[in-house]
Amino acid sequence: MTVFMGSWQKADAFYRIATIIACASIVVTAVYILRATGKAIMGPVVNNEHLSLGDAGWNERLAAGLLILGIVVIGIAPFLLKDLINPGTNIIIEKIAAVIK
Amino acid sequence: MNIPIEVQKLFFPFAFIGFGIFTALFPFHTWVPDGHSSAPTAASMFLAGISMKLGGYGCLRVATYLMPDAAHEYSTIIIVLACIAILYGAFATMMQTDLKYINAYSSVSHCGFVLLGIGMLTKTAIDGAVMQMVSHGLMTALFFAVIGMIYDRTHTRQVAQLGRLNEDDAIYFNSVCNCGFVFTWVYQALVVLLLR
Repeated sequence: MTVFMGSWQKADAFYRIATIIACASIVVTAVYILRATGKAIMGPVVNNEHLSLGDAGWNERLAAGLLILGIVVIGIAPFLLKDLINPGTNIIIEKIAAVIK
Repeated sequence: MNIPIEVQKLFFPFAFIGFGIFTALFPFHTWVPDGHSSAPTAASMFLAGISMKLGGYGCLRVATYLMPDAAHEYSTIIIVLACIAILYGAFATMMQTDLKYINAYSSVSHCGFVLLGIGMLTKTAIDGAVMQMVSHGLMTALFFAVIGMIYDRTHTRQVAQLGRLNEDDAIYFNSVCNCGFVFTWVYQALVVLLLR
């Protein structure tokens, strides 16, 4: 979303059209991910052996849990990430700004 | 140190395409689906979560930082290629039947957002590109982990052969998948709110 906002800041029609095209893919993303998840996990039973599968073990839960934790922390407090990113991107932006002006 | 503009124009495409191949720059993205699907789960997670981000980092930190004049000059081409990757990756994902291919093609689309942000050359867009690298790295690694868990149990990654899993598993896997997506959206929405 931040990419879209940054793209929209450029006033030329070309950049605006590119942003709109990129935004349109969000709809496609929602469709394919919901369809895949629905069919693979919540669809009709196609193999009875799948009904007797075991639960995820502690190591699997730990691995997934750590990744979820990362996503949740960044989701709730994106400024933690932004504060880390800013010093690095500022240097690049200064150089680009000198060129564009 | 400033590199002469003529030299920048000559070498920028080499540097950007070189790193861009690593981050699924269209039309050099074809290694991504096959590479992801043939690798074991841990390698897929590493490849999508970390290695592909190295390409985005190189495009930004090496190509754009060292050769800003050429980056400005070629930004239109970068944006066009990024938009093609975003749309093509998303539509190609819809046609896939293998879970790993689904995630791989969606990575092509999502890495297109990173390249779009870099091509726009604005502060917010480049910040967004870097944030997208981190969030996509976590999200896609989680998705590959879940696919690996499903494959370990069912020995298939074909969507049509999976159907409903054991009820407990269904709840667990679904909650994992949904967390990945729901919180990503929450994250993005919060970014917008904070910026406003």
